[in-house]
Amino acid sequence: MASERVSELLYDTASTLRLLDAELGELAPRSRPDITALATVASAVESASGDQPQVPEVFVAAMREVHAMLASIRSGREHIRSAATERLALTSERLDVVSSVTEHAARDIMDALERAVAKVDALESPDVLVNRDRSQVIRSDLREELYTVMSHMQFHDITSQQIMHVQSLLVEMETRLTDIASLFDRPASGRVDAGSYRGLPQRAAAPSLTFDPDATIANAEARQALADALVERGRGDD
Amino acid sequence: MKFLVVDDSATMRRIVVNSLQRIGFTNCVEAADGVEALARFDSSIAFVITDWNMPNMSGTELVQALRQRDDGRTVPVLMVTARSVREDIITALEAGVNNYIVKPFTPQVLKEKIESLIVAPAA
Repeated sequence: MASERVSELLYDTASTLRLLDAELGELAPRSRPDITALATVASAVESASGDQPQVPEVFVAAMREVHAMLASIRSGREHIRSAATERLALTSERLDVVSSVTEHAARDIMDALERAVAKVDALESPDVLVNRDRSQVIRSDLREELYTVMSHMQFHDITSQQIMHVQSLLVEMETRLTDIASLFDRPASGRVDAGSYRGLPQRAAAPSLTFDPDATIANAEARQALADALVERGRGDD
Repeated sequence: MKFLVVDDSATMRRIVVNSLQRIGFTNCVEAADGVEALARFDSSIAFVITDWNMPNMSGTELVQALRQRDDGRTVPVLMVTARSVREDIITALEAGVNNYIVKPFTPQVLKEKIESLIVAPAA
């Protein structure tokens, strides 16, 4: 058999098996064992090659290649499912938290500003205008309210960290999907090279985080109390 | 008394610096990460307030680096961070942090923690 004909036949076989595997996966994605009929075929061809020298080695290699590729596709499908069910849910949850924190902070800032406006109004009232001590107290209170507003602006730092966490989750999903897409970046025709498959690309080591994934505005007093207790205990150990 | 305020959030640096000014400390130097903080640190700095999670060099790495320097061995370091799980706090203390504030904080808490480490200036 001419080598061109072998390549053509192998490519058609691989394409057919790929479609078959995809269909099987769609029919029974959860109950299907890892070793498929395709793997069995590949194994049978491989064992037959020893007894029947007429089976071209390239066919065995191609079957291995196709099997490895399909295994990777199945693995990729699991990555997609994992990303969809876990990461997207977590991303949505984190965005809900960001929304909640923003709303909470905006309400606190509005409350403080309304109190500040009330104090400005009080400063302009006739009885306060003639009472220097009273005026001084109100000005001091007004200053406190403005510092309170400033303090509430910390929500920006917290929500920034929460958004960076969401961003990191999306980048991770993008990386996974790119890895899976790279499995399809293979020659559409021509000779099948069984040795070319290298598996999923290796990911670079994760850089140190510049955010706290658990950053929150909630329970600040309780969390500060824990820190105080640990600092005190540390001093006691000294 | 000169403070070094380290945080990658410009908003947080402004909040901390304003809170310090309110307490009575008006001499502040700012840095956006540990590397910049180390470059700006010298013997004139009497107090360091630092965030934990920052690019290039984290707050804990900064403290460890300071503790290796002759001029940074005993400088009071206050960590102000959103991280608040027990293990994180212990890690920071073991790195050389002297006190710990959880974000979001009130100016009163900042004042108390600073005063716990130094003698407050006359108002």
